[in-house]
Amino acid sequence: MNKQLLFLISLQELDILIKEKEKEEEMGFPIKPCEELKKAREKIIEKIDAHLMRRYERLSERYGNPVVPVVDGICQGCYMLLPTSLISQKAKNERIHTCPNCGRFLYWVDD
Amino acid sequence: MKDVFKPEFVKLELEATTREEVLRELVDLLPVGDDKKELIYQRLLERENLGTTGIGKGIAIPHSRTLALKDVFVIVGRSKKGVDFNALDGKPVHLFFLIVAPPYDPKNRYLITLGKIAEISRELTRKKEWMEIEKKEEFVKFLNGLLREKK
Ligand SMILES: [Zn+2]
Repeated sequence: MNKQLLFLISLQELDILIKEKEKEEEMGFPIKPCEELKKAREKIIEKIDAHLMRRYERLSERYGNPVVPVVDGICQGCYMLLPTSLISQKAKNERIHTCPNCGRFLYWVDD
Repeated sequence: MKDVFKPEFVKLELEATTREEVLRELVDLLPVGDDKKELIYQRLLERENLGTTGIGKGIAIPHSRTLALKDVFVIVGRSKKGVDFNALDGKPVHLFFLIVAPPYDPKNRYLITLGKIAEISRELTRKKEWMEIEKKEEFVKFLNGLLREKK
């Protein structure tokens, strides 16, 4: 898998945890304080190319989920069927692809 | 709702002796390819480092959302000798519930399942008969029964 895509996924997954922190704690799972989570976040961000990070932040503000899985050729962010020219490519997770409709980063679960 | 626990997702004799090995052994039961297993394992390990899911009294509930999955999966593992899992009470863990889910599941099965398992875990710390059950089918029946009482 593309290294940058891997870091973007890690960041997205960490951001989901940050969002669900309170719910988790209510269920009895203690999570480190916000400053620690921010530090963990910074550590991932350091490894991400600046232009990708700018895009991530922009998408994050707009939608909340900048990286989304593709299931059955459908972007799970905007639910649009992706163009055949994109779907038919091989080893799609080896490159950074974005949805032509919503602009989110794509990760192919089925690949 | 269908049964949460299934025999094919249960391992009654975990071989692992460390936290990392337990996570690997549990993730290995997932019906996905190796690259996805690696991604899920890394995610769970990072999650543990941000707050242990070893809730104490011999039970741990490692869990996370991950982009690598399309469905919610629940895996159960038991270790009679116990594993050091950085639990809140420092005691070895004998029973593991692994819960992994896609980033967004429309029916919110992830949080609901997680909550229910956390709830039955409190009961499981009192009744320890699960340590003695030797058949997966029986083990699964016992756990699904406990869950059903919670509705
Ligand atoms: Zn899209």
